[in-house]
Amino acid sequence: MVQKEDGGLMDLSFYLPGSSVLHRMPTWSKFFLLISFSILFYAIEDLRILAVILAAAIALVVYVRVPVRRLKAMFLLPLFMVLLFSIFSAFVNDLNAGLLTFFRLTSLVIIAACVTVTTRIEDFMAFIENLLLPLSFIPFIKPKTVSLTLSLTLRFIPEIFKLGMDIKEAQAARGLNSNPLALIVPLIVLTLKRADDISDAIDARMLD
Amino acid sequence: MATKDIVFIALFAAIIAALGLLPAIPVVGIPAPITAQTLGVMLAGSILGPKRGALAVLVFLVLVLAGLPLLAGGRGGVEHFIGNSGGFLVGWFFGAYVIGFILKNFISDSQVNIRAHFIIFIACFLGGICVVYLPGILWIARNTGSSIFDVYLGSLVFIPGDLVKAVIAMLVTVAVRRVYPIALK
Repeated sequence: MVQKEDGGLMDLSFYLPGSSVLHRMPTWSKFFLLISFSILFYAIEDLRILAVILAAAIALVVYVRVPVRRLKAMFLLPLFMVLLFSIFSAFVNDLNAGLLTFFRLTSLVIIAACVTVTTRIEDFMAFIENLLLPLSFIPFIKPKTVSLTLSLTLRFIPEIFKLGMDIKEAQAARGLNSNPLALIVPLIVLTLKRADDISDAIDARMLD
Repeated sequence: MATKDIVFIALFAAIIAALGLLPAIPVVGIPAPITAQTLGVMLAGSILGPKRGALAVLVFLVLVLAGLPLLAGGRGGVEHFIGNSGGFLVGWFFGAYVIGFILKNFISDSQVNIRAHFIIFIACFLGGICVVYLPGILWIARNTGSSIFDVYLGSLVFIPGDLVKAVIAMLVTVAVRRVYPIALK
C-alpha cells in the first residue's frame, strides 16, 4: 500500500473497478441504504430472516466480484472481531442473543465492505462536499476549505510516513529503537514546522 | 479559520494516519508493542488545542470512512464505523476536544513545569481514555445486547496499555512544547 515507492495515492484505496449495480449507484444512495439497513437489521428479531439476509450479503460479495486476496485482507479482522463479540454476547446473555449479534453484524460488515470497494475516493469526497453545501452558511464550514483540507492530508500522508521511516532508521542507528519519544517528537516537530511554508504557498495562490 | 489553521489540521490528520501505518513501537518493560494511532489522537488535542485537534481527528475519520486503509493495521472503510470499533472512533473526536479544552483552560501555552506535566496527563486520561471509552462501550453494549457494566468490565483489559499511552502522550506534548510551542486553539 503506502510502502510502494512509486505508487500513486490511489494505491491506498480499496476501490475495485467494475460495472456492477453497486458501482453505478450514486454514492449518496449507497450510504443511505447502508444506514437504513443498520437500523432495520436491529429491528429484526427472527433468526431465520437474518440468516436469509446474511446469505444475500454473501451473494452480494460474489456479485461485486471481490477477489479472494482482497477478501482476506478486508474481512478477516472485522469478522474475527464480530465473532469475538458474538461469543461474548452469547456468554453474558444467551445463545440466541449471540447468534442475533453474529448475523446482524456480519451482514452489515459485509454490505459495508461492498460499499467500500465499489465507491471511488473522488466520488466520496464529492459526496461529502455536497453534504456540506446546505451547511455553508456557517462561517466555519466552507466546502472549498473542506476539500482543500482533505486533499492536503492525502498529499502529506505518504510523505510523513516516509519521514517517520527515516527517523526510525536514524534513531535505530543511535540505539534508540525502543524509545517512542525518539520517533514521535521529531516527526511532529519537523512536520508542523512546515506549516508556515505550506500556508504561505496556499495564500500566495489566493485560495479565497 | 486562517490558512495556517487549515494546514495544521491537515498535517495532524496526516500524522495520525502515518502513526497508524508505521510499524508498532516496542516499549521497554511492556510485552506488547503499542500502536501509535490512539497516541496521535491524544496528541492532536494536546498539541493543536480543542477545535483544531478535534477537526484533525474528524478529517482523519472522514478519510477512513471514504475507504482509505488508514486505521492501524491497514484497515479502513465504512464497515469499521458499523462494527464494534465504531463507538471508539466517534469517541476519538470528542476525546481530542476534551484534551485540548483542558490544556487550553488550565495551563499557559508554553508552560512545561511539573504542574503542566500533571495537567497534561490528567487531560489525556480523561479525554483519551474516559471520553473515548464512553461511546465505545455504549456502542458495543447496543451491538451485542449485553449490559453496559459487562462491556465495561471486558474493556478494562485495555486500560493498562492506554495508561502507558497517556504517559507517552504527556512526555511528547511537553517535548514538543519546549522546541515548538503552538498557541492552542
